[in-house]
Amino acid sequence: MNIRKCRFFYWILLTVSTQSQATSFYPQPFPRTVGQAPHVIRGKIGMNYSDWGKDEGGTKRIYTYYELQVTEVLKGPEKPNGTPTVSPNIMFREMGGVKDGIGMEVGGASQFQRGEDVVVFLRDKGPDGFFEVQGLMMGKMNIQLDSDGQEILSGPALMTEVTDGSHPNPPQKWSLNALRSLINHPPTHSDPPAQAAPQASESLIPTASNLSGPAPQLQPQDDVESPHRNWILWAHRVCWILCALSAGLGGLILLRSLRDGPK
Amino acid sequence: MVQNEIFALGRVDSILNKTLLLLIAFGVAPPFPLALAYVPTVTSRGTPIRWRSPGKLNLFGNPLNQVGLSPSDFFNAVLLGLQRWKGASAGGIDFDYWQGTDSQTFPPNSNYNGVSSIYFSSQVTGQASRQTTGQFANPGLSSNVLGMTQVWYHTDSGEIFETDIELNDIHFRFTNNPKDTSGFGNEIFSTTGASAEKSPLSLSQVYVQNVITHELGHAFGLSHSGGLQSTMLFMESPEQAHLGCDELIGIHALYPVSDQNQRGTIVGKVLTPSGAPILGAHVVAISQKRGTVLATGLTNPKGEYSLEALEAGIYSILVEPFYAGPQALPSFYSHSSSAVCPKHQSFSRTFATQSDLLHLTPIRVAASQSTRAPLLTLRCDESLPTLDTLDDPVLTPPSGPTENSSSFGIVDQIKDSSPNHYRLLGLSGHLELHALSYTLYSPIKVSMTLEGESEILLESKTFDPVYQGDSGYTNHDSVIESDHLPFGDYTLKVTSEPLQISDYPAGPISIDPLPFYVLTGTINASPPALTSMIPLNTRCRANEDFPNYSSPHHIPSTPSASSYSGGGGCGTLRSKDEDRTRDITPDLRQKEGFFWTGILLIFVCRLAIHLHRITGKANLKE
Repeated sequence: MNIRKCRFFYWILLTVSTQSQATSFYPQPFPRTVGQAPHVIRGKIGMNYSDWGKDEGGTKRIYTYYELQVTEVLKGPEKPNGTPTVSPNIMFREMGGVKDGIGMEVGGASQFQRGEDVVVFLRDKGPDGFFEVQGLMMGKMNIQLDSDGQEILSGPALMTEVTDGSHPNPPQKWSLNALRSLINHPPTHSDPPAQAAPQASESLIPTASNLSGPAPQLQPQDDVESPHRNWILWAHRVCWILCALSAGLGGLILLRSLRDGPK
Repeated sequence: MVQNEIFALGRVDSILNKTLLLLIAFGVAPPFPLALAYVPTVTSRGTPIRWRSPGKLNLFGNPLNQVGLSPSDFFNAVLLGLQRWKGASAGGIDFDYWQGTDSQTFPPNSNYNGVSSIYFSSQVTGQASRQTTGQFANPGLSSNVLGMTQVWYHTDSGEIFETDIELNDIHFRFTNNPKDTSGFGNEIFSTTGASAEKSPLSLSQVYVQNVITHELGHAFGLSHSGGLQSTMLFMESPEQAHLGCDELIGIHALYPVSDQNQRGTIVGKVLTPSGAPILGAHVVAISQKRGTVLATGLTNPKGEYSLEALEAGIYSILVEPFYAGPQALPSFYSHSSSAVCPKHQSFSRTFATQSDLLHLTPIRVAASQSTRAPLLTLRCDESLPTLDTLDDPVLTPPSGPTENSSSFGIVDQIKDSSPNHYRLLGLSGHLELHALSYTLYSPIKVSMTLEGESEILLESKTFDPVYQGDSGYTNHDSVIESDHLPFGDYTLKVTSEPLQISDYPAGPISIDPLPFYVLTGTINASPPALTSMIPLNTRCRANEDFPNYSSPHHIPSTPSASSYSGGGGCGTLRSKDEDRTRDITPDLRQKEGFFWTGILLIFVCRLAIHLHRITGKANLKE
């Protein structure tokens, strides 16, 4: 009985709650961050919820799960047939959240708001079948329009980007086109990507003219959430629809009774 | 009754949000706690997250790693970090630390198991999958994340139950060399000029104490700071191992102790240029007497801030954007934005000044009292008025019969690289002048020269740099001090030279385009009130002669991981020992969720039928 009461109060009291916080970050050049992400996807954030989950190592945490309505797959496994296909939505998760009266704050975890237009850096699906944000808050980029109408990226991963090392200019601006080009034409170094020395990103910023076609896309079957996971969400939705229908039906019966009077 | 899965869904969240909005509309506004000094970790409703007072952390360390850090070095690093925080709190927090390699007692994972752990990533289970996939078991710890702290807490009270710290030895080599740091802000980096010239090898080496002390700050409930000299700065930086002024104030505010009656509070409010309150603006308190940033904080949704546990004295207030953005902060601040100026531009650093926009408004903080700072409206222009020709002296002797000292504070800028001059009239005795530019992320280093009527004063001591750490970090602010200044009129000359991005911890993100500085000065002022607790140097670095420590022989029993795998009822953490744990796996919870959905469905149907019957009977009676 107490649990029931508690759940009721949770229902009244709790709001969307994503957590972040508490990490030591290390400055690293943006191209390196991009190079290490298996998936770079642009989309709009949909619904979210928090639940317990496990990582590959079996560590159990509270995660916040987000729906991403995909608008562009900038980086991902190459398609076998070359047909550009973007799945309508995927689910990914980030550490931290509130569940069962317990909060879990995680170091510098990225936070997403419903309706946000974002570029997320994702690693491959984990054991639970969800994509996961790579590098906490470094794995999220917002998109803003500059005065020329160009789509500009902003986010913590860019906060150490500089135009040159000598003058305190504002941080280097990265456009979405530049990111596309970087992904299509990654810098060629003798060092492996993980060891690439940081460098001023100016030389990596392309113009729109040297973009060479669309970015590689994810394979459809991979980026659509597995039915195994989606059915839970849909089952919830169906339950709510049934509840709403029941309530509506009850209301209709009530109204009819009032209107028809005694028989 | 509502099942526990449904309310977590976004659609329902949306409904709940609308419900809350309705409540707000009807005047039932949720109370926002006043944002505290320093940046606290808070719940989604703004309640500070902290250990139950008196704070006690029982930490279990597993020293196994793949980078060659010895168990004794690891023990010393963790112990020093804990002792720094304990020493700074003056008894507000305590700890015990055990270390071992038995994975049952010292689990190298961040499971919610009642055990607060600190361990290395390489020891986390699942290495096999990592090797096959080429990815790291913890997706958060990529090559730009040194360490991560998870804090488990009660969602209502904010009480911390458990904390787990993971150190990324997959991508980084942890060392005992303070010079091994991320690059921004230390001398090694500066001499090479740019990050590109650091070798990949040196990039991967990091002083382990920098990371551990920072992570322990999170474990005690502190969030990231925007202060350049702060241990809790959002980016790894030199000297982070040693607590800065902001941490010394913050840990006292979070865990108050008996000396609270010697400390005071500044409260205030910040508005956007349009007059709206601003959430998440970074408030900086500069102590005029110390000539340094003593504390920082953030505004709450009402634009209010409260800088607590401050030493008594005169302060100046500066408000700036939190440059790392809300991502580096708890979700309570997730809606904060500094883009409150036209064309979606961020606001500029804004000082609390008098009507001439040059003299800083002195905010006098007394012990055990709360002082209200003037309402501050943010500015959008990127320029400042300047003191090209200042007729009035900036510093004069004490004027009133009750005064035995005087002080001043101004904000000014360098124009055309030419020096600025200030007059100081009729002074004698102990003089201190502080110029802050570097620590406020101004792009210049300022130097001061005090001149008498005919020649440069040789009696004064110029501290340049004012602080230099063994990491190579240099504070480029400037101080002039004279113990026995002869009576006379003086001229202070301020010159500047540019600094490089690489000189600044956290890099370019916070650097101001304007070459400004803050000048503070005191004549015959008594020493600061809390020098025993807040050391008198520009970084507030304390001596670290901590007492010897040995781990207690008795290791407290901890609940087994399997019986502590999550759950708990009605916001109460339940441990196995107290027989309060419900072992609910997510799968069971999903099933339970559907059960409650069904119950709800039946309830609604029965209600409808019941209403139908009632109305039917009523109609029959009519």
